[in-house]
Amino acid sequence: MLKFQIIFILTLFITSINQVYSQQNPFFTPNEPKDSVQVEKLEKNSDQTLEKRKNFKFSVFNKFIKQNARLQKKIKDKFSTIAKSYNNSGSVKALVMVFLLSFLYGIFHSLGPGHGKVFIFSYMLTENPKIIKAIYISYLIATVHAISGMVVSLIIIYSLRTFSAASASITNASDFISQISFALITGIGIYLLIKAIRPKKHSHSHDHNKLNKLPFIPFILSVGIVPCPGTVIIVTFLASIGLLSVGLFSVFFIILGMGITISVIGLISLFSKRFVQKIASLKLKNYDIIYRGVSIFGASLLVFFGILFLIGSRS
Amino acid sequence: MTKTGLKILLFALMLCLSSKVKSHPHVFVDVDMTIEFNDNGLYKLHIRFYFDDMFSENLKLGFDKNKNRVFDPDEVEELRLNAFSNLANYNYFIHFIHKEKELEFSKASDFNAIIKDGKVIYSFELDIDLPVNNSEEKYRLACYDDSYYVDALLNKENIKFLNKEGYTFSYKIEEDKSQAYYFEQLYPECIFLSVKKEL
Repeated sequence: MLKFQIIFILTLFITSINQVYSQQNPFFTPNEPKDSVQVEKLEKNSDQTLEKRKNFKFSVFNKFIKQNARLQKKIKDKFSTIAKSYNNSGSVKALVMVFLLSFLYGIFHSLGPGHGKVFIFSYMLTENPKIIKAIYISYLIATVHAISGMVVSLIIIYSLRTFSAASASITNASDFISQISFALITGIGIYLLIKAIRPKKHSHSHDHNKLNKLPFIPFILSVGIVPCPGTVIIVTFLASIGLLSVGLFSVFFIILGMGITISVIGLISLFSKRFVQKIASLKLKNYDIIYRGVSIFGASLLVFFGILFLIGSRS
Repeated sequence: MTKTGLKILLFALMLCLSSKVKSHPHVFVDVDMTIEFNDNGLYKLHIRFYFDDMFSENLKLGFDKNKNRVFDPDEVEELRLNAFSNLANYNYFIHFIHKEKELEFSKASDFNAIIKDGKVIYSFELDIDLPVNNSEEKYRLACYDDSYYVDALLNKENIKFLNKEGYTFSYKIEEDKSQAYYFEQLYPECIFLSVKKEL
């Protein structure tokens, strides 16, 4: 089982490298550069897209996403100016500012999608860890996420310096796979939702604490192993201006910032659940109903995000 | 942990692995746009992308081979092939809508890349070729990356019109909800343009 987990994690990391550097970046070329577009195919897709968009006007995140993006840009611009200033002057104050901005970037960057927040949210709803363990898990995810980004950065820097830029271009093949995975995610979420709604018959006795001790370290690694593109950009940028060692140290501060955001999300989830349980436990007859309700809510959330991502990936 | 809890975790894990979920903005681009007319109507779009510092350094690292802080002609060509031509698959981020049909751009022309004050600037042209007569025509023009890997922001002060003599036009810039993107959560800034030929 351990061997399988190791192979799974390594495979995930290796296949993620492509995604991080080129596959998602619209500017970089797939195997064959394309100067022309298949007009017929895209016209059809365009009509469908416009039709779909006309009927879908629900957004709660528009302002938040834009403001977060503007903030990230400000931090990155400031980061760039100060890093170049340190490069010219060697000032300790500038170096401290670089690390402080890495820390802030870690906080705000991980507010965006990804970074294991759905996982930590779900984990806190299904488990009941102590606060210190919740923070530990959050920082574990942040550490793995940023370190894998750092490793990918080193690979990219080496390949850009050693080979031509064309060799850093990689095949683009994820759209169809993403749609299939979103569909599967939604299907599994529906299955879990049904299981949570159905009342459970429990006639035999056993110690639930000893059942299925989750080897969660491999799970944490699996969640975090996909490299953080934000970390890649920061480290490759610093390397490109001759500050590779500073870039490697800045990863530590990115982890500190990222861990705060993920911890806050996890603790909000944990405290919310404990609050609900406390209220429910006051009236014992409602306890099971409330507890099932929390599980249903957790599974529903995953179904919702699965559908949202599926619709988004097909638009 | 119960089996159901374990399955929920696995489920959440699969969600986290989605490549689409990772696509939040990592590149920031400020966009200048000039709309050119000719005797027939709308002729071309002249576009400039001003990249953020960090991505500019990435581009310089990969393509300024002789480190002279200038993109030489062979470097510009390599940039065009390896760090620009793929935008054709994204319609160069340009969403030009007329009568509820989105215009597809088969090819960009006159591509150039320069380094100014340390930042990389792309310039290129797209053919529109839409006739305009003396009845008012309405258009919507926005610039955004559907995947939101790139955050493209229109420079409202730098929207210009070229060879506009003989045409009456007006425009306003506001969010266009009908073009919501990125899991339908973002509304792009859009130029709402009305044009007609003068009699």
